[in-house]
Amino acid sequence: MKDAMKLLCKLCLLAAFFVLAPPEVLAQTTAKGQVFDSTGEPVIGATVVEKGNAKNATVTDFDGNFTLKLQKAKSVVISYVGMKPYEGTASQSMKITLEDDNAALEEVVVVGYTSKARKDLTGSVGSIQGKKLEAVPVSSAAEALQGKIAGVQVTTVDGQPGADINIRVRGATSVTQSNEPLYIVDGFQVPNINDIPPSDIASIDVLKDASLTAIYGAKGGNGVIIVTTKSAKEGKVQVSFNGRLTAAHISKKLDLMDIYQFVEYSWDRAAGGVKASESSPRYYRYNFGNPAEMSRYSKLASIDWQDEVMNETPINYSANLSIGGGNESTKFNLSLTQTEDKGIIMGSGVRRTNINLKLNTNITKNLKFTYNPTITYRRDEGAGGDAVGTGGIIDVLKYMPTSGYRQFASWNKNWEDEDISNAFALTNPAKDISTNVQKRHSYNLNNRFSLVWNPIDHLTLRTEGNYSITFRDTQRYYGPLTDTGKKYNSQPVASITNRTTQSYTWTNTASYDMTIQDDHNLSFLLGQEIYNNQYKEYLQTNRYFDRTVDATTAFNNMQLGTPYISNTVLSTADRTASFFGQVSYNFDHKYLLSATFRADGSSKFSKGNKWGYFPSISGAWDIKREKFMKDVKWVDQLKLRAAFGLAGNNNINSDLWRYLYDVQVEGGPGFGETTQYGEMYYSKPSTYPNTEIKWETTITRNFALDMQFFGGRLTVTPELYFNTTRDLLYQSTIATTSGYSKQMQNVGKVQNNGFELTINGDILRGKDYVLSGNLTLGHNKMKVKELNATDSQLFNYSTRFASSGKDDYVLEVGKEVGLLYGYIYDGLYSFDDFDPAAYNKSTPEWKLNDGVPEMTTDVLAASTSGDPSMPGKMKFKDLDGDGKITTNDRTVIGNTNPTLQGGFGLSGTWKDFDFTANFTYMLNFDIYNGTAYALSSSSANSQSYTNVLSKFNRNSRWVYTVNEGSHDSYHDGIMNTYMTMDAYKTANANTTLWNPADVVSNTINSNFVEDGSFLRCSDVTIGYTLPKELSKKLYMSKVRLYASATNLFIITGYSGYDPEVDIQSGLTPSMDYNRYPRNRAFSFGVNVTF
Amino acid sequence: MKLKNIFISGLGLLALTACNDYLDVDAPSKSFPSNIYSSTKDVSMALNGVYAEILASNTFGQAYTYSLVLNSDVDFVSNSSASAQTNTPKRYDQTSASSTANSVWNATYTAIETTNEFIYYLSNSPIYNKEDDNWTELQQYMGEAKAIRAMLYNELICYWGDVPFTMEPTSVTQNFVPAITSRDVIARKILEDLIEIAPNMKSVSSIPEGVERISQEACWALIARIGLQAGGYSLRHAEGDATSYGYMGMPSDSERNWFLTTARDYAKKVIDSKTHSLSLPYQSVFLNECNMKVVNDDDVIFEIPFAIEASGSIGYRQGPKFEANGGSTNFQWGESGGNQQLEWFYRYSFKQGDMRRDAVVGWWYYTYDGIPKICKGYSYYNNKWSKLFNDTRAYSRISANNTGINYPYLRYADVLLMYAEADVKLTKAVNTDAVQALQSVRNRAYIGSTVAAPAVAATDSASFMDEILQERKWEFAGENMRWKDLVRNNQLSEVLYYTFLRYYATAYEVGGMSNTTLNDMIVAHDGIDYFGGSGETYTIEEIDAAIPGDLAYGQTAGKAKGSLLPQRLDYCWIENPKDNEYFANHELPTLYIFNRYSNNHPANNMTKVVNFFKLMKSNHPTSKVAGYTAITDPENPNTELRNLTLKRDDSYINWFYDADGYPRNQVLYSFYGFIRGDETDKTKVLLIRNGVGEDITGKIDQVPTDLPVVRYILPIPREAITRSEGVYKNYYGY
Repeated sequence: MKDAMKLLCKLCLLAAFFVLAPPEVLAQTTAKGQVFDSTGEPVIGATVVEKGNAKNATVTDFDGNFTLKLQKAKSVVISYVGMKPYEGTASQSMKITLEDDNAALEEVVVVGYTSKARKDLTGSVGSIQGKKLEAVPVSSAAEALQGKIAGVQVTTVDGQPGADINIRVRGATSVTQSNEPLYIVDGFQVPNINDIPPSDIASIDVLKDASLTAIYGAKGGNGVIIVTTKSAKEGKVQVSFNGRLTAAHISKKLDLMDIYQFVEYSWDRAAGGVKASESSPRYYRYNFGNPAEMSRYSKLASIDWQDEVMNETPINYSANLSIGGGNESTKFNLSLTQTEDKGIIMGSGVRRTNINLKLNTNITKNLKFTYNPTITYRRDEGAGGDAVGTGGIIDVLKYMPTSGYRQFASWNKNWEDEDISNAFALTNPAKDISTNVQKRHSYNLNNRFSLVWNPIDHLTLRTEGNYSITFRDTQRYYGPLTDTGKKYNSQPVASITNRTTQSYTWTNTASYDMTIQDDHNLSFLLGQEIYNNQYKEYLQTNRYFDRTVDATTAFNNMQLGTPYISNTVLSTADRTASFFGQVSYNFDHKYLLSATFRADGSSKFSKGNKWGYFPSISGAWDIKREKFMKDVKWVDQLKLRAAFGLAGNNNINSDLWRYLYDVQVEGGPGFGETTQYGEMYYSKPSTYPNTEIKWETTITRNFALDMQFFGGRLTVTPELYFNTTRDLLYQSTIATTSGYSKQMQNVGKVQNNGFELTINGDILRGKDYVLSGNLTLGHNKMKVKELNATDSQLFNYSTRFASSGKDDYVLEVGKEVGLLYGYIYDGLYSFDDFDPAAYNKSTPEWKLNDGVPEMTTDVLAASTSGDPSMPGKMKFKDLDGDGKITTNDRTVIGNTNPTLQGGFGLSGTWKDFDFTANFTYMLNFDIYNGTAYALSSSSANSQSYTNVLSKFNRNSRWVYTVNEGSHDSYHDGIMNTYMTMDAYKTANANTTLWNPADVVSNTINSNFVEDGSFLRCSDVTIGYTLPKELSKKLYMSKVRLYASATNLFIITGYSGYDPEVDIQSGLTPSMDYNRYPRNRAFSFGVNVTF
Repeated sequence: MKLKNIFISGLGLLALTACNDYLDVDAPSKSFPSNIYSSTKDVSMALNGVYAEILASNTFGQAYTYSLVLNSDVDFVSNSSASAQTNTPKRYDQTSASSTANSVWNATYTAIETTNEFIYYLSNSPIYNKEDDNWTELQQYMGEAKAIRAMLYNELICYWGDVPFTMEPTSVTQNFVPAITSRDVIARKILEDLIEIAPNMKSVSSIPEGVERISQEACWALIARIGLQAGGYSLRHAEGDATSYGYMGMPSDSERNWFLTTARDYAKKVIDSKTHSLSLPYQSVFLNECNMKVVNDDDVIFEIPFAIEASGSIGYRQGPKFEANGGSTNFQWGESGGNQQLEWFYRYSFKQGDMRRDAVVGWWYYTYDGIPKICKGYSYYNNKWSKLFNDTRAYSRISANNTGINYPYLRYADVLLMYAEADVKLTKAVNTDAVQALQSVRNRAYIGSTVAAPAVAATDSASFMDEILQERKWEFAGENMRWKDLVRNNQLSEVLYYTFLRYYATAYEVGGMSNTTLNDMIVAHDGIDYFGGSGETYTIEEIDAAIPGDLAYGQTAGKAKGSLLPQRLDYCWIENPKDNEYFANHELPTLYIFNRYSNNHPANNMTKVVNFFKLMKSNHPTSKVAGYTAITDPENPNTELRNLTLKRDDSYINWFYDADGYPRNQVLYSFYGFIRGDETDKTKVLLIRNGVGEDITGKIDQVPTDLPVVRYILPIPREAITRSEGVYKNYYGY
């Protein structure tokens, strides 16, 4: 064993010697030189020790210089945290470059309340170091994780600044409940890591299997993400500054109709069909003029609302200043960060201010105290794609590219209602956004402390607490001509919601480790923890503001309106209490075994079901340490790991197990006709309480092999896992004769099988250059093993976009989760599908030929042109062959689960330059393009006009009107007297697409299921570090300048804005509707150390 | 050591004592039922929750007041679909997948559970006893909740027959699937329940909210309604035969006697209490509701207290349509659906001078810009209520549903007629007080009329019963009564059969393909000659003798295709006359309609018909109508336009498709589940017996002898059957 270690060290040293050592090696008694890190930056505070004489030591100075007079030996050992120690013969002009210690086996990893050497791990850990984060400008820690760790899927719900980030470790274990992992920052549990400035991060570790997460109990069931922020170091006060400027722009635009195409389509829509009353063409004439003079529109410029609304090019900035230092007993680190992240859509953006203080004090030699307060301020404007203006982005896209006749002339005031004219001008998307305001301010104060006491050797007692308080203030303003404003006498409405959330966690642990007879290493851990979370909310809505009152005035002077709703809620506290223990044993670090047990009690369950018990066991075998591997020199590490354990999930709402009444303010009886919204009343719970609900449990099984070759130049880690989740917490349908329709129940079972591979390697390594690469890939398959007793299939729908039946996703035993369920598109009905002799002109009625299935109105509603079974309308496959297209003709038409996902990256340095490029990919998964559906249909009222995709231009769309020049009548649609059947047939001879006016109901059909496979270049960065001499002149120790591009390009066949929407989230993933488009950003930044 | 002690004691304390208590948390902003039901104030708020259940759109908000108002010779919505549908209960055509049946079933059981919970918790409440200061109040609350539960169960047994029944809340029984109980048992149980609580309820005069809550009188009236219905016919399933549509049957004689006696006694109690009367004109009763006025001592006994902008669709579904454009209209009332309409021939059934006819039959609708349009179709608007009739215009341009107009669930007129019906059924004689009850309803309908109300003519019980039913037909349009009246008296099949034939024969008539035998048969049945044949001439329009060459229904010369029906219509646009009798909205432009029988130019030979039935004045269209100012044309503001510019609709009754040679779909398929045209061969008419279409084309002009039952009963929803795991089962061929 010891031999092996020695050998390893020697090998490393040898390699370092050959590769890095300066040519001349002189024997002197004074060691003098300079220490650099792998990027060529001087290392400040590196310890230089005379070999064999630990008392004779010094630290490198500001420029990495050191001088040490040697007393006995001829060589020195230079070490620095996070880098491999250097040992070498002393000389007068040493130039030492310390190698990064990313894969160092001795490295300590904080897992489950204790820290462990990486070599002693029996579970799966994925890590990234802060250096990697620093090199690339990302706005949050979560973003930095993207594509870097196998089996960790990081997706943002859309392109909104500050958008929610979904992090999934090995897929979703629960189909119905939250799959958010547990976040631990510096040992403290936090709700998310969205607001941690990346420049503060020292490392991120992801714990993937139950053997490591079980100690965290229920909260760790979805994996644990551990963030370690930069700690203060002993020595001179160090000041550093990171700043960047970013310009962002929309990365893709949708191709919508231009003004002429639109006006022409609108006429087709207004005049084409007998079911439209004459008011529809009249409305067209009022707004667009005489159809015969339509050509005048071709001379007008289109108003492209994507340009008007989403074409902002915000200049954003981020600035971070950190000051750290201290002495042997007290260290501090203070970081201030200010970030501005405006969106590409007007009126959206996030601004963040973070203050993070870390203070470590050794009260006595064996009593350490840490205090870590953070203050975060965050201001959000806008609230995602569906809160842009009134109807969200989809309304912007659908808005007409012209104000019609008004673009030529003013409207007659004698007749036109002033409000209507105003509405026409004011409800355009740009005005709408400015009159429909949402602002949110959040203030978060976190107080974390810990006290660690080592009363005797090997025993560590630790108590730690985290008290967090968040104030969130959401302000909403609806202008007089928004839908909400119009409801209240066309006057503004404003509401302010204040929410104060308080939460605390208190953890006490005792750990003891011992070594018996040198080779038997044992460690014990016992602990206990409580957690509490509760919020108070106060809502005030006032209405009937004067029309001149704008948003800011209204928020500052709510008294100008009439009080309307005022509400307070104190939530039911969410509490857990836990006990846990762990025993780890290893023999000579060769055979390792660890057993964990945790009991969690939750306030979300009834008395007998509060407690869940989660044991786990894991082991590892370090093959490299076996004798027979001793001589295999090119192998550095070969470790086989296996783990088995249970994890719980209680991520449901409180009070689902007990019977509670709520007060409702709307919908009560209108006694006396005075209260507009009716009297207040008590209502029974919306779901039937279930006293039997209990913990959802996941059984995880994990096998992995850790391999490292060629002196650490290549590491390969393949892993396999099989996770089974049972007693799924599912909102089930119950017999409505009970008076309720839903109840939370523990039903069913799902299984996640997966494979992961991580490869890291240095491709090139030379004197002044390094090129390294990494690759991760993961495959996860989630299958339904059991459902409840009565149903063989369960259906779900996305709240964003749903068909009328609302059964758009299917859960079926033996199949995957996230299957799209709908119709198979079968082209358009053609003239040949109908009996020409039976055509009834006035209805109009078409008679289908035998064998052609009839579209029923259950599937597609009739439009103004007539019934759904007519030439030119969508046709679906009649799967059950009953001659009708009914809801029974649906099947699985899409699978939203990627077969393979992951990322790869390249990074390197050459002289003073550094370079990073990161790519993420997902292969072979389906998306439902609901946005495209909305832009290929017209579900709105027949008289209001909406824009559609430009592919529905006259040449490819089914048309109901004759050609331009004959647009001279109120009705010139086919169904009327002005167009002959022959002309109609000729006009539609080469038509491939339906007329969007004919699609007035939402369906899920295969035509809008698209493959979302993509490869994204998420970032490319080139940095340059100023030569020392130059930076010294500027009184700086290091200056790095960089330029970076994020989301530089994406290779995908997907036609929507971006294929990355709700990947594998919940039961209804990958529904692309009303999403904030992603931007492409270019940044310029600087990292300075003083 | 001190620190160590703190550690250890801290750990020990938390671990041993606090843990389970720590996990017992309060729900600070919610309430346990036991807390609510210990204060009278909170109980009244819980009772509001019970009321909220009958405001829901899937109960009385829309379902029982619109979606489930089945087609008859009064309430009628045409349907053009030539094939069977899953969800068209109005035309007696639905399957167990019907979404309406499913959502109404669910909402009704949700509401019943709420009432069951209220009744259970209140009866077990410590304050519910004689010693409590609020004992009278609490008993009144209990009565209201029980009455609402009875209303809900009554609707269920009306539409589904035998249904799952429980009077205990699920939280007590823990039974999600109560057993199916016979409708006779359910009726008996809910009646006994009401009879027990009724004496402890308050009279309407001592309830501050008046008829917006259920008073003692309302409870009595409800008892009468449930009793009368339970004592009549209903569709019952053939034992063991799930494919049969069933038969029309009644409870046993003794049961029936009890139901009818109860009905009569409790109707009598309402009459004797003298708290209600029929002193206001018929139209005012409903206009008051449209204007949010609650009148406590007149006709209405209980109206469902919808709240404006929050619940109810009365006056949106009824009244003239007002089209929206992009969700809003140019006028303050917002969109109006105008969906719940009247059968086309309904208006011809009225007697001369009956004020109800003009109060309910609506002739025109509006486009989004407020332009009136003639109603052309297979039915007329039901103008009993409309949001447009609200003078204070409490709605916004974008409003649609949720009018807040109250719905008169129980009316004194109904009580009087129920009394008469129960009495004649029990005694088989025409008794004075029953005649008096009927007569007083009729008298009210002629308040303000130039004609005196005709006296009750019947002398024998059968014709008296017919007269009562006829009166109900005129009185309750739009109040979801007609088809239930017909079921109770086992006349639904016959009435639907003739209603279909009326449309059918008229369509052929306007298509120029008269079937005289058929026409004569209908005329003989109805006693009204729609076709101007050899029978008695039916004169319905009031004629101004001063005008030569009179028009309307008495005229026989010069009419098109031998029909007396107005196939050609001329009308013009006028400013609002601000006259309730003409149109209860006082702002929007309206139409003057001219009936034209001559082929001469209208300017020379036209007489204005105000709403067709009004007394015609001698104003001639060539001159301006006195008192009405001109309206400028919006498209051309300098011109007085449209004012008295005649518009003509040449094919007013456009029910026949000439090129096809058959009546249009609406004529053939609006009673699809009972009688319809054959989809493949439109010359054929099918009568549906147990799901099988019988071809009756050859004998369509013969008086039918053996009509099948109408399957008006709704299916137990598929979802409910699945969830019951086989406990529930559908009959009636579903």
